[in-house]
Amino acid sequence: MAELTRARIDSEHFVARYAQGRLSEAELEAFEDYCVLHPDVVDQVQTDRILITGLRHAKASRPSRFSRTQVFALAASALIAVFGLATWQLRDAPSVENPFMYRAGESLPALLAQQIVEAPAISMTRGSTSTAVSVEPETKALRLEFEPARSAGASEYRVALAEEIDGHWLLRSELEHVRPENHAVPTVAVIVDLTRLSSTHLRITLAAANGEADEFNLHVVGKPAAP
Amino acid sequence: MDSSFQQQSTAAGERDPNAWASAGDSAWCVDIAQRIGAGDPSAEESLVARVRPGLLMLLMRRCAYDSELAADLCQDTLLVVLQRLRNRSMEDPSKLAAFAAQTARQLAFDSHRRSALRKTVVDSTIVEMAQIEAPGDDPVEQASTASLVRRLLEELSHHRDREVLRRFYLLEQGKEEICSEFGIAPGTFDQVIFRARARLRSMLQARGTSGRDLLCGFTFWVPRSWLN
Repeated sequence: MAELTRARIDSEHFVARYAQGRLSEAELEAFEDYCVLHPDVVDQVQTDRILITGLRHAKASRPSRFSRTQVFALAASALIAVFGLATWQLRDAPSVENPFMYRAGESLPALLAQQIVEAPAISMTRGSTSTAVSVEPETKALRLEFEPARSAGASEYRVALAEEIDGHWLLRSELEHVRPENHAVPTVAVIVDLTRLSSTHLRITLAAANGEADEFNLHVVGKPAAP
Repeated sequence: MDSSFQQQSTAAGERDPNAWASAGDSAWCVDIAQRIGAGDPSAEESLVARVRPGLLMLLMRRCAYDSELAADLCQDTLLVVLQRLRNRSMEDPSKLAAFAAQTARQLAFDSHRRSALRKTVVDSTIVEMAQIEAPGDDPVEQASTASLVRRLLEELSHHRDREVLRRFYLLEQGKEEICSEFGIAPGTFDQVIFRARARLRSMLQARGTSGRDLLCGFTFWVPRSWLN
């Protein structure tokens, strides 16, 4: 890519697109090269990041026109109603199955939390990617981080975990993952419970709302077969 | 005049207007390289002060916003660059910025690869790391930022301007699409963005936080003795 000029940076809004993670690889490198000599542009990038974060939170937390007491009363009523409805709905429902996968950062079952192993971050550049990770036989869980490429601009993902059984991919777990607000790089981190999986070949799919999806294949070496 | 700039002149003898922007930078790089090669410590300070923010920005992004790792790699990058300049072993000093950026990218890549190759071991202390998904994700800071941006939006007199900002930054719509939808010229769009950014920056400064403060939590200097 040709050397960047300030006029082009402004007219093509490189600063905002960098803050949003929307530059192509060639544009990204050219922009980074330019920023090395232009700390004022670095300031602009930070301002845009703050603007983006602020817009998200300003939208999510608009000032209320109700008094605090009214808000509490409304929230208490809603809570009682939801609790009652849930109790009624679930009175004959089967118990919730223990999932195979958790969002990194959320509370985990105590036994699992003691056995989390940090797996190498898997980063893909284009299309599918495959990698292998070695674990100790007693390893109970893995922490996996993905950096999606096709769906890099998304803020929310549907994360699906499948395992290969007899040549077929069986879906084991799905969860919604919201990208942290201050992450320009949309890393998606999950904890996988190895004790519940019988196969050593796993596939994790990150699907954005716009239909774009990234697929990661993982071979867990050293994991004993589950009973 | 800088020789690299002369080479960018067009065949007709007229200079490419885009070359002007980089000509000053190239000349600065050549000058600073000569001064550092001659042992001028103030030149080293000037170089570090100018390139550190951009290198940190690059490294923060490539280190998944791990500020400590980014600061370490930034220091390593500066060491490499300064060593080259002190030894006068940089082939083309006018490409100093590209060299520094590429060095930073390579160091970040190497660091990433090292951690990827690291054998996994069972370690219960990792549990604590798993709880930290978004370092620096301070709810107080977020609330303060949201408040500032809300004030910024309230100050905008036109609903259209608020909507332009929201669509561009939040919904990530393209400039052409927004201009077409609101029937505004690209220049007007640029003005809305420019004014909003400038106003937010002045608000941040009034609050006592510049944008770069949030990026650069570290200040450091590389003594010459470290290289010997």
